[in-house]
Amino acid sequence: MSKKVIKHILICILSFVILYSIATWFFISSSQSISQSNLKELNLIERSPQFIYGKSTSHANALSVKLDELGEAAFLFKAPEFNANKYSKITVNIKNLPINYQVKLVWVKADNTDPIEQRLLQPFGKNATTLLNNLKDWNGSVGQIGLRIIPQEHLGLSNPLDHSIIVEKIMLSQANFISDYWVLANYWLDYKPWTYRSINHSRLNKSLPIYATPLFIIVTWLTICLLFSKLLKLSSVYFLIIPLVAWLFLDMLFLQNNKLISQWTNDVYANGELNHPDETLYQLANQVKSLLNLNKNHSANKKHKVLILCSNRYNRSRLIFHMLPLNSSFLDTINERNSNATLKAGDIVLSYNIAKILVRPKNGVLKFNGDSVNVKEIAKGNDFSIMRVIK
Amino acid sequence: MNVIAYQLIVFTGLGALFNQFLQINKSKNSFKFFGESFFIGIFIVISVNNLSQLLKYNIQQNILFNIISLVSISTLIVLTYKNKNLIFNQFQNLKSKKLSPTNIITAMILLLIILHLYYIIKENQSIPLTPWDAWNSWIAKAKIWFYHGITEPLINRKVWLLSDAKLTNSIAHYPDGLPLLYLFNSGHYGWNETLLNGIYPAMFIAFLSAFYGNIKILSNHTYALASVMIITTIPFVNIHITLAGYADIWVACLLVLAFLNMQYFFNNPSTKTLIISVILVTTLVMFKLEAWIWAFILLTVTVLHLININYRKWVYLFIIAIIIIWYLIGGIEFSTPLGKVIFKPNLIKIPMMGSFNLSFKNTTTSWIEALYLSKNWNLLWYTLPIVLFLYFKTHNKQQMSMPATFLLFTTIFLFVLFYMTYASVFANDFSSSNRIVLHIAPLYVYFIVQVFYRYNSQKITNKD
Repeated sequence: MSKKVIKHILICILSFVILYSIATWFFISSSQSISQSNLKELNLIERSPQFIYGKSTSHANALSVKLDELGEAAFLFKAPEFNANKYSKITVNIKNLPINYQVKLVWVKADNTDPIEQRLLQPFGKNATTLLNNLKDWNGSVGQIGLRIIPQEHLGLSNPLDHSIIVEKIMLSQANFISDYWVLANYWLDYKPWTYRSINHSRLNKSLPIYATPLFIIVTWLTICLLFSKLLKLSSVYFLIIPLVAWLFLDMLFLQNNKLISQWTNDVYANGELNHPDETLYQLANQVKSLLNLNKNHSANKKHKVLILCSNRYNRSRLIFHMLPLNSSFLDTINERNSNATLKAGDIVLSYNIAKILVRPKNGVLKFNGDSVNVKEIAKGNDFSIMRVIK
Repeated sequence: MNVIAYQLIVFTGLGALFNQFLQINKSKNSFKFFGESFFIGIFIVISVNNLSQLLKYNIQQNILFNIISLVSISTLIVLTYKNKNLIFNQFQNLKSKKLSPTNIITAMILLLIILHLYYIIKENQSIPLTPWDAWNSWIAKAKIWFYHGITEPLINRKVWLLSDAKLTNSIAHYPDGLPLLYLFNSGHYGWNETLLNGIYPAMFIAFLSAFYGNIKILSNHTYALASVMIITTIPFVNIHITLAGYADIWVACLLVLAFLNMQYFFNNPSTKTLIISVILVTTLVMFKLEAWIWAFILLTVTVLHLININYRKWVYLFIIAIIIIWYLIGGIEFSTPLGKVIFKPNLIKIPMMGSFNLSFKNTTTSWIEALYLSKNWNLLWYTLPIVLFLYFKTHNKQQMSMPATFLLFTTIFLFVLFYMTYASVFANDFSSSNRIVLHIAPLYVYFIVQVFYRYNSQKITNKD
């Protein structure tokens, strides 16, 4: 390999390292924290937490947390009031945490009782550092601070855990360019399953400023390398190799995330004992089917309609899907003023609402959208009411 | 993995029988043959089911599946036996390959592709869900037919409220390609959505084979392999296969294969070569209503390229003149059996497609975010300036002009749609804009490799 080529390769590697370092420098630095290099760390584990959800069980030198029946734990530490600018990073180490649970930092400012939350990088049984200085609400005087461990809410999974989660470290400290050099790379690799809920929604990736996104760094690096190739008058094949390396680098990040997603999917979905993601709706649909004595004569089941009365579009659509092959659709669209006229005796109305604003019949009359119909309630629960239309 | 392998056998075998019987594959390219056979098999299955709906004959899907499986397996066994010497020679060639840098790079690329396929298949067969649009609409259609029979008519919701003992679906009027495929497979697997989703990775593997085979004929092995590597490593493509349910990836694959076969037809005119293209275009419109637009653009580009190249620029000038006159006279409108058609500068109305008021809305920022700043496309769209530069630097544009014209027309269409109509709202919702771009992404990848191949060939010729 000629000296010119080796020189070029070294320039390419060096230019990437310099770009990454510049981005990391800007990402870590904040105007006040740099000057206050002698500040101590704040180790929250040494303090006694106050549990809002979940509870603590004993564990030496760590905080052992048991989630409540809804799969949540939240606790706050009453530390002496401090200025947020004193600490620019938080390091958390949590063991036994399944990756379908997320960890959020919760803090309450001294001048405002509303808690503020920020999702942290996922601690996979090792130290996970999240930078705080870039957060718009991490300022002013902080009165209380703690953690909230909750299921990945957008994925609808909240299976309770039998075992305790061990919080080994919650440390507030100053970010340092040398010791936190890899923090940006960790952001690139951090597994965020909820970003794949909207598979191409770039606005969900707000934790990184544009200059720190891998795509920006790669494109900038690409431009620099191509310019150097031109200056060094290298063979035009390098104009293919350099973009290819850039492409493959981004692909490696994608594959790394795929590996983590695959691990998570296996943990959560591949186990036959775990619930279906919308198990509640699925069970409710089955309840309606069994009430109607669903049998193999599907043509008979077409005669009576099942109409869903629910303000949440997703929930009613999933109910309709789970109820197949029953003849069902939704009832509460304002446009269909003649919907009442099409209801026949024997039709079923399923009213469902998880926010407890449930439409129930009163004295055998169901009122909705300004219309009313005579019904008989045949089953009910906290979140639902199943009615048969009388006339 | 068994599900995907079996899907490949069932559809490929069926299509291979048709392919072999009609002696359509003149190129003798086995990747093209087997890859396209899968899609021919898809076409046959959907057509059979469509026919049974037309004739109101409630065909039992388990019987149909078993018959087709038998036919497919028999076909593949016969083909393997007939070509046993060729297969044996290929293995011998593979064993005798030396450890050269080229072979090492080829092996690494293949490893990368296999790694992507591994995660796609693993995830696809682990997830119990499909996207909203899928379970809310076409999968629900398939599920209704699974329980009530394929001849069960579906009506739209507003009519359903007034009707008696009729079933409804949110896309009752839509093409039935995907629901009928799911229904066909449910004849074997029962209603298990995860197993039924296995058709997506199977389709993608067949597509990669056909994509490689077609591009190899139109350029060479290196560029064909590069194109397969590029398409496999686009995150958005991976996600659309993994999270099965959207028909957009089917449209994307069928469109580019139909196009490539059309281009091959121009290089080697033959009726049988044209048949594959026609089958693929027909299958394309069986999946999405929007596919008619691409089919129309493909037809337009094909007709333009039938015109002698010396006269073609006059045709373009004529088209521009027509557009100017159309604008000056305030547009046109006429009646058809399907309804009134209106083409005016402020309104487009097409029966069954909808009515679109035209007024300019600047959605450039959303497009830049979607194509250049999000993770979906890797660096694909950053290649556009260099590709255009090399395109204009290449003197012999014969092989490049057809994809270039197609992409130009699709860009014009997307501009009108997302800048001039209410669909500009969907440009801000990346889900819609990215999905439409997905339809033409494989064709753009083909265009990239064709441009680089022709430019490189020109450089070599000039050096000589």
